[in-house]
Amino acid sequence: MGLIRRHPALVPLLLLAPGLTWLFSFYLAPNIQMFASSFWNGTLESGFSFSLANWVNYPNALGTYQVQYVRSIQYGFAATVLCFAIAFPLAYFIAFKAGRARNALLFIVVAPFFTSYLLRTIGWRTILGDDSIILGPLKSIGLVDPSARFLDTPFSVIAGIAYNFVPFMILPIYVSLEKIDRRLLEAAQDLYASSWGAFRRVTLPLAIPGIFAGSLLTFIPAIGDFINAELLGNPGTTMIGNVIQRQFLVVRDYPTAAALSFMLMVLILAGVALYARLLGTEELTSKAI
Amino acid sequence: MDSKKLFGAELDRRTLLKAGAVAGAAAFLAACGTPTSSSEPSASGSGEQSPSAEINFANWTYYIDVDDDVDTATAETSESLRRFKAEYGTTVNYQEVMLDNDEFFGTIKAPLEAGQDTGWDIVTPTTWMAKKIVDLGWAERFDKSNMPNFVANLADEFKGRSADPGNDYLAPWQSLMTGLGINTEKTSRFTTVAGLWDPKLKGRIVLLTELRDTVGLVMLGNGADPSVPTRSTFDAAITTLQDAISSEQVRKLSGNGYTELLISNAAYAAIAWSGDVGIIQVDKPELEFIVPDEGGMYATDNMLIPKGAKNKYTAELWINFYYRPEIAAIVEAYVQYICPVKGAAEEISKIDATLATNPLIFPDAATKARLRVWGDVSAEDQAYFDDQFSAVVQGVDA
Repeated sequence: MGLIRRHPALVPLLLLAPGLTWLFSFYLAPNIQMFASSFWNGTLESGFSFSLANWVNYPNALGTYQVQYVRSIQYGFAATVLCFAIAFPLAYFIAFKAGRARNALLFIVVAPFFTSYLLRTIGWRTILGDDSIILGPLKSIGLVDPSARFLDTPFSVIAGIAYNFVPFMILPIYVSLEKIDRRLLEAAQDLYASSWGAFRRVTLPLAIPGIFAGSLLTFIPAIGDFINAELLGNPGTTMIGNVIQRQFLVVRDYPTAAALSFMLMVLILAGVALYARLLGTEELTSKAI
Repeated sequence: MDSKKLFGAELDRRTLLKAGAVAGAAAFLAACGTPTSSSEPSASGSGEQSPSAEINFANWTYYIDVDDDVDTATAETSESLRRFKAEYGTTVNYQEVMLDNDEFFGTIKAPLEAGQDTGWDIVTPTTWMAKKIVDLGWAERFDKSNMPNFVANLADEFKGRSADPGNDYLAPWQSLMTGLGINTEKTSRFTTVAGLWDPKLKGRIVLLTELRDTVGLVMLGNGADPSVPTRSTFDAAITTLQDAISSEQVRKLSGNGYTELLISNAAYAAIAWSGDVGIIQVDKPELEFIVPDEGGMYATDNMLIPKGAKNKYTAELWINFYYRPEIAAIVEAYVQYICPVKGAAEEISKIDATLATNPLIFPDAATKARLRVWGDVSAEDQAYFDDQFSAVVQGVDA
C-alpha cells in the first residue's frame, strides 16, 4: 500500500495489468509468432527455417487463393445485409412496441446460443434438406422443380452465416434504439414531421452507432468463418477460413496458412478503418441532431 | 419390418449413424486436445508386469461395439471393453478422436518429437501413416511374449508387410474397402467408376475428402494403378475430379459426413467405405456397396503403441485380448469392416450366421484380388499430391 500511496500514478497501470497481460499473451505474442512463421519455408518433417526472402509466401498465397478471399468478402457482405434486414425491424419492434414482452423476446434472440454452434449449423441440413419441411411441400405441389435444392449451394452457406450471426446485429441495434429519448420523437412530431420523417431524421441517425457495431460484429467473424461453408457448402463455396483451416491442420503448410491469416487480418483492419471513416459515427449523429 | 425390430437394435444403429455427423464434429473439436484423464504410470518394458488401472485408446468413430441405446463406447457401454475390464481390471479410456490421419498426427507429433508421452497408449493410424510413425522411430516395439494370440491369429495377409516386416509395431484393427455406394432405388445400378460421371447423376454424387480413397478410385477408373502412383497418373485423376466438380456433377466432398447425404437421399451415389454401407443397409437396403469393375481401394487401420506410452504392457494385453476370435467377433458384428483375426468368422456365426457370409466383412478371394493399396511415394511426391488434392477440395484451379 505504501508504494501506491507514494506513487499514485501507478494505480491505473496496476488496474490495467491483467488486461494488458492477457492481450500480450493471447493476442500480441501469437500474432508475432504467426507473422514470423509466415516467413518460414520447409515442411513439418524436414523442419522449417526463417528467411526474409520467403516474403514470396504472401504473393504466392494470394495468387492461389484470391478467389476464396473475394468469395469470403462477398458472402460476409451478403450475410451482413441479410442480418441487417432481419435485425432492424425486429430490434425496432422489441425496443418500441414489445412492451412487457421485451425481456422475453430478448431472451429468445439469445436462446440459440445455449446450443453448440456446430449443432445449430448441422440443424440447417435438416431444415434446408432436399425433401425438407420447406422444399418438400413446394415440390409435391409442383411449384418447384424436383431437382431443386438449397443445401450445398452458396445460398445455404450465406443463410447459415446470417442465421448464426444475426443476434450480434440485433443486440447492438436494440441497445441504440432503446436508449433513444422518446421526447425527441414527440418534438419531431410537434414540428410537423410525419412518422416516416421522424423515423428518418431522428430514429435512424440515432441508431447508426448500433448499426455500425452490429455490422462489424457480423461481418468480421463472417469473413473468417469456415463451419458454414464446410457443413452447408460444396467445393465451389470454399471460404478463406476453410483454406486456412486445411492448410494448418491437414496439409500442415504453416507458412502459407500464416501468410493467409495475416493477410485476412490486414484486410479486415483496412476494411474496418475505411468503414469507420465513411460512417464516422460521432460526426453523423451530431449532424443529424 | 415389425415394430419390435423397428424399435430395437436396428433403429438405434440408424439413429447412431445420423448422429454421426454431430459426433464427427464433436470429435473434430476433441481431436484438438489430448486425453484429459490422468493415468498412473505403471510398469512398462522390463520390470514389474501388472495391468494398469487405465489405458488410453484413440480410435476412429463407430469403430468398436457399443450397447443399444448408447452412442459412445466406454468401459461400461461396450461388451468388448467390459470383458477386458472384468478380466484385467483395466478401464479402457476409449476416445473417438481420430477423424483424419494427418490431423491426428499433428496432435501427437510435438510430444513424440520432444521424447514425451503423447497421453495415448494405443492409437489407430492407417498403414501409410503408421509406417511414417514407425520409420520416425516413434512406435514402441511389441513384446510378443505378452501377445500369443496376436502371433497365432494375425491373418496371413498382414505378415511381413513393408510397413512392418517383422510384425513388431503394428497390430491391424480393421481393414476397409473403398468402392461405390449406390442407391439402387434412385438410380440404376452401375459397376464402374465412370458410372459416377453419368449426367443423370448431376449434383447427386458425393466424394470423400481422403486423398487415397478418392484419387485412388478415380485412378482405377482411369485405368491407372494406385499401388504405384506417379505424377502423371495422379494429375490425370485430378483433372477428372476438377472436371466433375466444375461441371457440378459432384454435390459435395465430405469426410465422415458423406453417410448423411446418402441416408437423406441428397446423394444417390458416393465413393464409400464398405463398413458404412453395411451399417446404412440395415435400414436402407436399397443402398448397395460395389467394388468397381476397375477395382477398389483397400486400407488397414493399425493399433500402434506410441513411443513413451505409460502403459505399454497393458496396451499389449489389450491387443492380445482383441486377437481372441470371440472378442474380435463381438467388435466385428457391430462395425462390419474386414477383420484381421483368424477364426473370427467361425465365432461371428454364433452371433449372427448371416454376418459370417457377409461379403463386406469377409470378402471372397476374387474380390480381394481386385483391391489395391495406395502405394508409398517419396516425400516430395506426397507433398505435391497433398497440394493438388487440397486444391480440389478447396475448389481451386491448380
